[in-house]
Amino acid sequence: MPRRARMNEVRFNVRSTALLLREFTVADMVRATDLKPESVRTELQRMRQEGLLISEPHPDPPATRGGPPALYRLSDDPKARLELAQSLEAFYAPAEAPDRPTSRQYLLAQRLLDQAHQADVPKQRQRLLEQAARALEMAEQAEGGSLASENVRAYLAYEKARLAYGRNEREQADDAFRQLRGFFVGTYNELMVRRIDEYRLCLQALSHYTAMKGSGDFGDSHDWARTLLETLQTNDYRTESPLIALLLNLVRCLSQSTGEMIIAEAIAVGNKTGQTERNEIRGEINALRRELRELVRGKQERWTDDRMHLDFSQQERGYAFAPFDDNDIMHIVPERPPQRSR
Amino acid sequence: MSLPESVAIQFDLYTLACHELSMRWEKLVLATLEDLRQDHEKCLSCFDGAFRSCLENSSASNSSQAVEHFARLLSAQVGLFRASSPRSASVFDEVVQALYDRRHECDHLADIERFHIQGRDLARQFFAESEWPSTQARMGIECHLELSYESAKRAPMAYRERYSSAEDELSREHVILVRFSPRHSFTSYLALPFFFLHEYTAHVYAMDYGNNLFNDGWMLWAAQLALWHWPDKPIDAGLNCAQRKVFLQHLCRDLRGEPYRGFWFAMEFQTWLPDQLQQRFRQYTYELAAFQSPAHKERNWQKEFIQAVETGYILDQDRLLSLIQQTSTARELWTALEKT
Repeated sequence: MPRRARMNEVRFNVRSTALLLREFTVADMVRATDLKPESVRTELQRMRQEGLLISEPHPDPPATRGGPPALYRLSDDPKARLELAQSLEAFYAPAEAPDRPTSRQYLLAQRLLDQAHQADVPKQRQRLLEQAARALEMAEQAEGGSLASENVRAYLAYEKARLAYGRNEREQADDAFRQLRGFFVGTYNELMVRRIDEYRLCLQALSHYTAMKGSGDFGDSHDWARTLLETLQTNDYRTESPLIALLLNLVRCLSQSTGEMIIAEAIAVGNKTGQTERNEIRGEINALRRELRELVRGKQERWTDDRMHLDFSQQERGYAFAPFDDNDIMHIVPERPPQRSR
Repeated sequence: MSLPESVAIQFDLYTLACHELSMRWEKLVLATLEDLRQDHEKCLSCFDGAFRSCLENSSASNSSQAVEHFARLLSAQVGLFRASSPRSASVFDEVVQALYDRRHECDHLADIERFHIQGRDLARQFFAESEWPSTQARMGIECHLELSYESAKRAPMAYRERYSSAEDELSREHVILVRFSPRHSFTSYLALPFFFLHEYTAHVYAMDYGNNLFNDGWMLWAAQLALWHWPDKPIDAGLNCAQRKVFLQHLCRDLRGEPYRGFWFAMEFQTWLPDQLQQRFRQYTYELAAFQSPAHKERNWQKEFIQAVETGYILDQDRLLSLIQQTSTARELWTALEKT
């Protein structure tokens, strides 16, 4: 039996060349594809039947025997043109079922959700979430709906959970993430498990903060930072990312109130300086005394380090800095007349 | 720009053998058209197999030996179908004879330089009607070539605005790296003019901010399209049909990630545009290529434009079409898409 060219190769060759030529006869197509005329004619007929091509008598036929050759051209219908272009991409799709969504609609939904999570303008965020919701619906269809593999459906469900997260539908998001976690644990997908865990930590922190403040307003950044840090600590969160580690350090700094930062800075400076500088610092700290009194009033924290001790006591009426002693110990004691340095 | 001697010998053989086959390409196609048992793709795989075997196993120390080794391997391959397809086999016999006759004329540098000039000329035609000053300012750039041998899988060519070669440590501007590898085949030889066209259009003459979606995606489709319609007639530098479509037919399957997405979206978008708006694709391409990012702000704008158009294309094509008709430039279209 004579061997013929593989049908898929013929189809791709003819269709891709049709896209480039746009208008052509059978002879033009044979010349351009180096395929056998019968193979070309068969494929062109098929494309015409599918509505991808229109054929009409050649308006300016060459002087040859026989009737005028047919002139083929791309259909004017944009949907048909789209189908032709998309049919080419399908030639590059993997033969076996993919283990995650690959459609353009899915990738768009992912991108829109990423942008929405980072958007700080509420109106823009809402618009992005609406667009993401539509893209996700289209993605589900494009991926085959209920006929898609379990893995593909799980990835789509993950994006739906992210959509719920973006919309502040916390309970729905958490439920979805919890179920998905079980699935991805079962498929040994560590990356997805880690992502889901992070989302659930975020949800937890958000819920704690809202419960504490009675609203979702993040006006108090110190309290929000503390809530986030506590949530991470409670859940023993670890990261390998140097960027995340750096950001967490920043969050720790943000979790300190202004007064605490001033005192911490004073301690750090005091530790690094010699006696002369300390005298200067003492003077500056005494000048700050009045402001610090206001800031630290009511605090019950204990600040210690190797060389300096600060002890706040809520029962005291006020605070004053005692001068440095020779052992570089500084005490904050209840207000009383300042002592002279030795 | 020199290769190690043993590699240079193989590269000489490669360019000479591919050149001789390309001169007889139509003859081979005709021979296989008449023979239901053979097609030109199968013949090519014999040719590529012989060359690969030569590259991996030959210890030729000069061109004559390399030709001798390759000729024997190719003849052995052709012998497998000689009885069933004598006409196809005779084409390869001619190739082998030509290799023997011209074995002292091997010069891969001359061949590569010829394709370089072809590709550059095509790129100048590509941008000939662009009125953007930033593009016009770059049209005089002529790149140096730097050849290398790579065993790892990498792009066959790459442009470097500044490059220092390990050989002489001199820093040069505007260099195109040409990578020769064990994976080279007749198809990749056919594609050389196209690759040079792409490097010049996407990286030398166009502004390149590392936006792969644009420079290595959209611009690849633009270059492929331009060889056929730009917008009504093709850019032309004497390429044959096989050279003009080799990328779409064979090589775009190697694309991955953003280049893959940019290429296929550009193809779909351009195909979808109605005939009366076809010139917009070229217009947008020119504008994107000319975009200059002031102090590196907005350096992702080329990518953002494509993403905004893609979003509109997926979610609401009617609206996208309406906005294209209402606006004149890519910047106006992007602004309109971002607003709503």
